[in-house]
Amino acid sequence: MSDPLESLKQLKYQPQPGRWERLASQPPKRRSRPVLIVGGLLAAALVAAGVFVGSRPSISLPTEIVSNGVRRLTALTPKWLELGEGESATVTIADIGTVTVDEGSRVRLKQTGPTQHRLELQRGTLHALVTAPPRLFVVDTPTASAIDLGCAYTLEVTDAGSRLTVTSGLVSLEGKGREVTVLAGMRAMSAPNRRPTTPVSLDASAALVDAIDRFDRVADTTALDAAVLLARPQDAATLWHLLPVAPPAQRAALIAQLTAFVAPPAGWTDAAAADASSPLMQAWWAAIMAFEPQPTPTK
Amino acid sequence: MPIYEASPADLAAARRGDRLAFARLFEGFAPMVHGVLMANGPASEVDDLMQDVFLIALERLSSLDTERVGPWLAAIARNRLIDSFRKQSRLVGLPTEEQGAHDPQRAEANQVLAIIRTMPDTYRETLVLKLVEGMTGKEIAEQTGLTPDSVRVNLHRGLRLLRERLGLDPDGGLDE
Repeated sequence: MSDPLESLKQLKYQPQPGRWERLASQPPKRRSRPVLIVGGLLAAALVAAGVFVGSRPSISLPTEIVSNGVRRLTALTPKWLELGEGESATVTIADIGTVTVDEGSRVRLKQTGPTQHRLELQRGTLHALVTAPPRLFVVDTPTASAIDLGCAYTLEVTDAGSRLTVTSGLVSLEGKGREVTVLAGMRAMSAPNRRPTTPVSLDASAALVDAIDRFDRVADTTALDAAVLLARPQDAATLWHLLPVAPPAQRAALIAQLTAFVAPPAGWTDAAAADASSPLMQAWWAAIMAFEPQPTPTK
Repeated sequence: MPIYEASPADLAAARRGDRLAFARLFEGFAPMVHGVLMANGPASEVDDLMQDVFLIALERLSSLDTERVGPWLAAIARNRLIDSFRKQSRLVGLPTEEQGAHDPQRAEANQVLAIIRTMPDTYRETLVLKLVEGMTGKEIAEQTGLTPDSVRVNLHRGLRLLRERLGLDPDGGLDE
């Protein structure tokens, strides 16, 4: 007589090659998201109002503008939308989220479709709340691009450059050959003709922020030494970003300090620090993102 | 079968929200998720529930614990089952609608599974992961977050109880 326990093996999980990849590559399905309802109503209202009728096919996103308390429906298109004093706009980005644009801003739509939604913010402030696959939503500014990796953030653009502040999730800020990943509770900036700055925590000390700024702007190596001394466990992500751009002679001190906060991955070699995309650096980054430092006691 | 070791690159990328990296990662934990669902839920719905678990995890990538991916997925699976039970307002017992009900071997497997589902919580998942998914005690501990000692005890006592309930020699086949 056969062992009945053996029969259980036929209920075993059967892999279906490519199943999860296929599912992951589909746009996320939403469960009763208010944004969908608002988006649908706005789109329907716009069609009813004839916004899309009589003109050649063009890209647009439904947008609600509030002007001194009065609401009106319009569409964000490739033409610049300028918001005056007392005006704000809420753009519904398909089914992935919303963007609120503050008064005094100049914004336009560059692309919208299943593979990417792309806005351009020339000046002013926008607040994005997006739930989407990474890199599906992008905002270009004159100095850098903010690439959504699943998050909520505020982007401000002035003549001095762009400032990205992340409140949830993470955002990539890319420009001039540098890509920095800004985590929730951090900010990074980009100035004209300069690479994005090293991200710093919103609660980092003024001395650390100044040191990072001096290193980013003029490669002041004494500032890098200061940053190593001033960094707290909460600044581990900042130190990680400094590794590939630090002079080789100063990497050892950075690695030692970062190691004191978050252990490097198994098999770590210092040579890996030169390339942020190396598997060892990526593994260390994963550990840093999972790291939850204890709050610094207040005196 | 070797213990599944998630690729650090996929872990990091998934934590950053890379959906395809997470899909690759998930495949390695799929037998464990399947086992957790199979131990507690209706067999005919396990495939749909697995897909739900995958999609829920995708939505929550920012909270992915790279050190404890397995326990994180197992918790999502158990919560999904609770939601499913709430919606159905009942606990599903025997997989009466199983495909292959006319296949004697499959029918026998479903009967044994039904008996496992009547066993205490502490034994159920461990037994299914061992007997259905073919995982070793070490793999079960690695992927569910249980201690190796707990898994060993659960397997020993659970197997003994199961064999008793099946009318088999309780001390036969206790090789784990």
